[in-house]
Amino acid sequence: MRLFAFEETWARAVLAAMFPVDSEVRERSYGSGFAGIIASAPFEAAVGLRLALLMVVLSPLLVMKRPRTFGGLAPEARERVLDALLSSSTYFVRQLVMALKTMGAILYAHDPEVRRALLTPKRDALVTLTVKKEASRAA
Amino acid sequence: MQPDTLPSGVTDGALQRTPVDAVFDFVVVGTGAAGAVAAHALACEGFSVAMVEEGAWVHAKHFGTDVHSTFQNLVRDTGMTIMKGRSFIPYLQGACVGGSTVINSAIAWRAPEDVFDDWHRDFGLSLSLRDMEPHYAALEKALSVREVDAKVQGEHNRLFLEVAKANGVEAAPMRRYDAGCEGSGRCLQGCPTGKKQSMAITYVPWALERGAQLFTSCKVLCVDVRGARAVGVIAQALGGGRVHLRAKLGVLVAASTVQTPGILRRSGLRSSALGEHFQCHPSVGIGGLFDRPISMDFGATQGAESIAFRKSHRTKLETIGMPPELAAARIPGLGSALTQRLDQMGHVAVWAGQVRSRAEGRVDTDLFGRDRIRFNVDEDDIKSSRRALAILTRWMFECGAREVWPGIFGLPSVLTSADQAKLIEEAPIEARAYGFITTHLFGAARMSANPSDSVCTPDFETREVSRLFVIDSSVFPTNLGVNPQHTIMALSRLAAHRIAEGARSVAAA
Repeated sequence: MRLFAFEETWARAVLAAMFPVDSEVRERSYGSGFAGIIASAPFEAAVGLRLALLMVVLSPLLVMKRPRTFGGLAPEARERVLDALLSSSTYFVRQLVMALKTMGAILYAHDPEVRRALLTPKRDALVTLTVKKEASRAA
Repeated sequence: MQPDTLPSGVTDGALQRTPVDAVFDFVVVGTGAAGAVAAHALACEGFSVAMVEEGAWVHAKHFGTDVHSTFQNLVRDTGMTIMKGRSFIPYLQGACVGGSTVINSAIAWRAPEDVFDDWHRDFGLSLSLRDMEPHYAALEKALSVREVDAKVQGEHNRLFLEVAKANGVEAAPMRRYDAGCEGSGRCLQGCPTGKKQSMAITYVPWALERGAQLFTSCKVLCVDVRGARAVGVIAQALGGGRVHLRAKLGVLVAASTVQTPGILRRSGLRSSALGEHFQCHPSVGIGGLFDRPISMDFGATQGAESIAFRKSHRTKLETIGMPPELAAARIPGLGSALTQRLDQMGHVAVWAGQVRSRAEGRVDTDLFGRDRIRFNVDEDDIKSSRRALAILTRWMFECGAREVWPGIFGLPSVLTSADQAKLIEEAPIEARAYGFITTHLFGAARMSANPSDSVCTPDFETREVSRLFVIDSSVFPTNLGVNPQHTIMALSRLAAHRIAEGARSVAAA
């Protein structure tokens, strides 16, 4: 099954909102990578993933009651929409978004360097988090 | 993807455009844990044997380092297989020479004696641990079964053992098919060093050395049945050629719990028990974020376990060094909050609880003729899962976790203290609230002395077609409560020896 070009653009926007990356190239790879996954997925799974994409793209209408598509939202609003869908009380909604998140994770960590960086313990990152948490508790 | 040179005796179905018609004593369908061991055993007994495998032979140098490549090359339906029911439960199956043994954690467990007692009492099987002993022992010797070496224990495994001991719970390093594990942490992506003793580097080549032949990339369409007797296998090579492998003495089906019932159905079997009594081990996992470095990418992928709660809670607790992609999907949050946590992936451990479910499902085919599983966890399974997750949550906090991610819908996605384990104990009894996954599949072509409730006799032969044997975990009357590969192999080895004896006595008569 092949994705349309506009679906690749949707995939890029949705997956980049889930797993932000710092380069245009990597963000573009979400679109092509998702198309690759769809191309090799069994028919039923491919249909499910396309449906999930369509649902997310149109969801601002329902979640935010705004006549916008997902691509027309600011980054923070995109996160809020995805968060709302992931915590939806409707099982199928959150499962479809979870499926997209899984595909996003697979594409995010596809690059060996990214995986190496992810798995390298980072004392600094923890310290930063601890300090932030303690500061917020104190506040 | 193929190795540069295939060993002699291998026909690559991807290149097979012309028909094949060959005669053997036995044809074995599948090269996973059951098929490879049985083929080797029959070849050692002096029979001519053909193995037929739907997947390709993938050389270790072509294993990917990431999940995406692995799923594309080694896993059925690129890993997108799910059991359907009230909730969706993903399961993974290897689709290559060696089957799931290429992508599992190579854990060797003898089935507990109570399992055989149950099988004897409830299903009339005359199998005991004593019958299985020589087969378990032979496999353990051949596949270098040993406990995970301390050098490759890895922090996620070491912590588990330490906290279990501190709580007075019996736990141990796992025993695995391990010829000198180097701790690459990549069991699930295919061992890059060839130390994991999968069937692709052991029993399949050993069977070839004994004169067996292997047909890869050939999908079995059906067993050739003439006059209620199995006389061969008809397969379709990926390259287009029709492959007809004639079997003078019998056909052994070991295509897995999901595929075996479909093959039997397409071969004309109509037993009402076919596809029924499917069982599995649903598993749930939790992630924990620690101050100390964990580095799940080093050490045995799965290296520590406890069956202390097997009888009381029907659960087995264990570690799992998840590839970062799969772990990332379970980490709470999205966007910047998620990337902050991803940045600390090196400090994350994942532990899991595997439930010996009492629930039964069904294996059948969908409208398009594809194999599918219908299964629902029951209330007891959910309660057992909650208990397992609560225990593991407490343990994670006891060994210094800063955060624990229970992955239960309706609960906070991030727990920050051991007291919150109580929330897990009170979590909803609702399958859809949990992220179950399973890899151990049983039943659907049950073996039993009761003809009305089984597909196979206690001698592994189907009731409807003579000389057609089922030797994989499809015949298991129940699940085990421990990892099944060792018992699948031991039982198929025992079956192969009995089938060989039977064939000899028929020939002598």
